Amino acid sequence: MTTKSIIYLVVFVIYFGFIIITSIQSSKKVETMSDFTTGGNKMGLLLGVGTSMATWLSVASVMGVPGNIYSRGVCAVFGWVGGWFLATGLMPLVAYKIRRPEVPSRTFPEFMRTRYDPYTEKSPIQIFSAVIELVGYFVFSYIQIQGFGIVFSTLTGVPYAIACLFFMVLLIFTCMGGFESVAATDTLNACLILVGVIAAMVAVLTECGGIGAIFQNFATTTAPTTVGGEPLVAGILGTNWGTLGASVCISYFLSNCFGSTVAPHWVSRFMAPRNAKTAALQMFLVMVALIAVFVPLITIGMGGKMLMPSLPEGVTSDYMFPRLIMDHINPVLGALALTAICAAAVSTANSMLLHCSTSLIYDIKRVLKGGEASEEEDAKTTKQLRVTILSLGVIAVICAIGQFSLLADGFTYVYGAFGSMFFASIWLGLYVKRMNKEAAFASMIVGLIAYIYCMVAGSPFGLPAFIVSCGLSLVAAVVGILVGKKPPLEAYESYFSDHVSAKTIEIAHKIRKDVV
Amino acid sequence: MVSMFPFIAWIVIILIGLVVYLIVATKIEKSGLERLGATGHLFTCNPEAKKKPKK
Repeated sequence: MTTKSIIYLVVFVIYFGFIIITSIQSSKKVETMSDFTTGGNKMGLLLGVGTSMATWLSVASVMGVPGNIYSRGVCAVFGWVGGWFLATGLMPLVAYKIRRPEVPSRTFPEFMRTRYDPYTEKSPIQIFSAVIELVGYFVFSYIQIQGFGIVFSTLTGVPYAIACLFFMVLLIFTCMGGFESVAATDTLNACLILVGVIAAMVAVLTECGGIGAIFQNFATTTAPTTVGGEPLVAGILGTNWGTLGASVCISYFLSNCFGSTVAPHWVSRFMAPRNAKTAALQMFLVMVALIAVFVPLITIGMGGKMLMPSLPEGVTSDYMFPRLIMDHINPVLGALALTAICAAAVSTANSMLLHCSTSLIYDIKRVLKGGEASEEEDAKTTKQLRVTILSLGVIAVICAIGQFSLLADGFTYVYGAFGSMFFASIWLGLYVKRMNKEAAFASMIVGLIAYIYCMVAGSPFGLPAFIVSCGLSLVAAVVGILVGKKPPLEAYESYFSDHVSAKTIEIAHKIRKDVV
Repeated sequence: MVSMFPFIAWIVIILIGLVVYLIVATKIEKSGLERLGATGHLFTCNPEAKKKPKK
């Protein structure tokens, strides 16, 4: 083992220690099932900003953004960074409405039931949304574990499988305490990510001789992305649409933007704050804070092209940043940057696993089982949530040990699918009273089928896939509104009025199975 | 020459984010409801904070 590897490992052991202590302390605060799923709808602003920021920063952003800029050019600033920032900028519109009810939902599928199917006990729309959430977030968790495993094993020499197991231990510790624990470790992770990427940016700027030299190189380079590949057209990395072309770049932008605003984990995040304004303000502050992370990531991507013109054969651009750490950044700064990647993976994967677990136990098992609410039943459900997180974490690690894929692309596909499916049911559900169950179902099914078709067979007329699938989904929603029945007042009242009837509040408690 | 379009678009997007937040915050403030987080100020959100006596 080299001195560099030992430094990396020492920094990691310190990081592991911090995370485990924070998780144990936070998990002691969990008293009820509501605490476990949404932190009891009482989360403050600072914790909200920390956890939302860390959830934004996954391995797809920390590794994917520099990698995409390196291989596709500055167009990635528009396609990925711009898309994510617009999503965050628009999120207060969703956050405010989601947190507006006096009795807010605890999970995304529960919101779907409250809004579209409040009187059906075993609601198909709640179960359907939960299944989609379970599958999508399992893929997300798996991508995070995989990304971490590859980076950690490459840099430290620890076998990939062992690195994944390390990750599993971290995940279990952070998830077992539920939402509060995830939020607390996320806040710590957000600070580490910030320090790590700034350290890496300083190292890259020093090595390259300043930002001017980086821009100069980026505007003229012809070096292929991987050794032996086709040389790039001179200057293409610096053009508006880079190597992607306008249609693909706009499609990525729209997927990343609108897919994110309606991603179920964000909708759930908006339920946790203490009130609607906190939910909205936290997203605005996250957007501002993220500038401090993305400026370094963009610099790293552009500077990487100067320090490392081509990647070795068989290495995808997602791994450009870890390679840069290994070959060009001094071990102490490198260790900080590496911790940032790890923190990004942990902070995203733990929320995703929590969502998988709540979908399965809270929204599928608990709903299908039926029966009356009781404190014993709630305690049992909390215990089952913990066991499910453990089991899903183990399965995700086993899956991660098996396969490989492009990180940022994988994320975009899932975000694209979420966006196509849920765009109409969330946005129209929150802003159009007439939006009903038939329209919600039609838009979700049409959106999913259209998105899969576009991904497999290509979009018609070369249009961006997201525009086609989301457009068709919206058409299906409009048809559903025109053909279907007007929804009951209890379905939409709490999202449109500040003062609601006693019946609406009673229904909300009944859906949540609150112990009265 | 590196295109400035993606960077300018990014700045415009951040400004859109500010406008969106101000619209939402103004609506909440107009409602005057502490339950929603109305505090009398656009960038604060904890109505309980002003009730606490100053030391």
